[in-house]
Amino acid sequence: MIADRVPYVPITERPRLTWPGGARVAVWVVPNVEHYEYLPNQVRSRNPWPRMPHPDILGYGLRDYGNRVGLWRMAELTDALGIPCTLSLNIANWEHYPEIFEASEARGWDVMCHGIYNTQYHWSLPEDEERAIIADCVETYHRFTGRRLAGWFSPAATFTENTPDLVAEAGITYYCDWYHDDQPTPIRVRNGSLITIPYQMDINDAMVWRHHIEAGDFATMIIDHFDTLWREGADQGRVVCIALHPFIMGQPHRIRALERALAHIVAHDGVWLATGSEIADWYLSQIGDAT
Amino acid sequence: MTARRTPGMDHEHYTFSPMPGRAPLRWPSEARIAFAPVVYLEHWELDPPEGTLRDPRFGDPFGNFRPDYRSYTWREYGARIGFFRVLDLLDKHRLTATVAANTSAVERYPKLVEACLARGYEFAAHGTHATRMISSAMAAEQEAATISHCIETIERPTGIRPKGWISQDFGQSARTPGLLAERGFSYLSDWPNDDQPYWMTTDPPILSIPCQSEWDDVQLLWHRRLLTPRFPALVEEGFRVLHEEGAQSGRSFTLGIHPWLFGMPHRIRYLDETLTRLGAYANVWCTTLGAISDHMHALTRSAAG
Repeated sequence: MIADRVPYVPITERPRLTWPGGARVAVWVVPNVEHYEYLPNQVRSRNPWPRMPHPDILGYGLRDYGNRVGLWRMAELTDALGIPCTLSLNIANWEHYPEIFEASEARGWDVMCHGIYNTQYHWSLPEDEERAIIADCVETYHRFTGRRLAGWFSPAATFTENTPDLVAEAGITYYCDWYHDDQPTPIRVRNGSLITIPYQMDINDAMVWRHHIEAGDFATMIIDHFDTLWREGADQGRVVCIALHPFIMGQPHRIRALERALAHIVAHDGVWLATGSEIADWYLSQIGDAT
Repeated sequence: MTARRTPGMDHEHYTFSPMPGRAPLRWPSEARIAFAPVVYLEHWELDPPEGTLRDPRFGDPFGNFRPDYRSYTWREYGARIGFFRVLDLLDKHRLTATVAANTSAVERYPKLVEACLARGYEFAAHGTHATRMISSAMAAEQEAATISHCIETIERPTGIRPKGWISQDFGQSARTPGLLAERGFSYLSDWPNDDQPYWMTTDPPILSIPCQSEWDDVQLLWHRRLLTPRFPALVEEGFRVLHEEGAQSGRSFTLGIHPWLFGMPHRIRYLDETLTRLGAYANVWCTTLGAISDHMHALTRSAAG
């Protein structure tokens, strides 16, 4: 394994990163569009439904809400605000729900793949098995869209020491399991090249929801996060990521809090509303010039 | 069993139905939203038998010991004190509730059954004990016998065969919807996956009235530990959005109320405030789960006829 995948470079010691149009921040909004299995057969390293013998319709049903109802309510909001979404997509979601595939394509949403199912974890997977799953995702995405898969975020945030190497090997451009920076950075891999883009496990409704924090406080977290990065973005371009789950923030009692946070962002100048692929492509074009 | 990666759900209970593609749902009297409060009439065993399953999230912060006087007596408080506070509030707000009744509670608390019957509440079957969930670990015959026992034990004192089923702590096996439909239940209210009722693909079809777990008092105030003073605004916000959406197509709104929890002296005023806030909306059908089910069954019959 590569010992130091991301050599230390403090934010103060870098050439200035600029965004298109002189924006201070690139903002990407990432709904996790998922499927959790009713009866998962692989209880490996983590039990998806630990509350009871499977099925657990409380856990399953709540997540199902995202696909039936929450996603569509959230889409109305991002449509109204002109926000392009990047789906963190369990690829099987499109296979189960062609309606969601069609809605994604109709809106021109981008996709970062989030594995096959959110109940199939990658921790401790043998290298060839993980390689096969990533290849399956790349092929399935291509079969649906005719396009190359550009981004990877491991399913349910479960990964191995090989993941960055396998993701690069599969021809994927950017990777989101690492949370070490406010900017994209190169990450060392065995062969080829790969960059990371800042994703969020803190500004993330699923992390917040596990505690006694509700939507109004989450909206404040998003706004505070954005305000700091926007201010600092005057000198050095930053990435603002907002990680969402339609089964959580797409609920009726939460949607207006999300609207408050996103409207705050959209009302600022110096904001580049971008997708994961756009951020990756721009960054690569910039460091090509800088090095 | 890994799901087959083909269009549709990864189980046989219902079909996928994204909200935007649905025909508009119409409630009686042009209501935008059907509001059904659900009061839980439960009995928690001091010493449940070996092999029974309870929701593991009800752990004691100091460890799980037997006997568990604390959980037992807290639930008993609900039946002795809290239930009457909740009844008073529902009376004040002129609401008729659905009672999710454990059979052991029906037998143990006849005064509570009487108080609910006097108010015209609907009784829905809610398993046998708060300490015994149905799950796939239960043998099929035992599950079937449990469901039949629930029907008989509720019909005896109430004189009415329950038409609805609400699983204890969302405990279902993969067989449950089918067993309920076979035994003549009209609806179940277990799946937190929608804002409208929908038909399950059982034989005969049973109606699923979504149980909106995100603002169920136990899920929100007990398991997630949200402070109760925040409850009224949060619930009203969900209601407001669904009421607004209900102008196009009706929405359903369930409110789970557990007397052992909301009947506590420091919480009850926030239930009052919640019901006051919801009471300020027009075009609301305040009803029971059974009446929602009757309406949906009638709509389907008239569409077929």
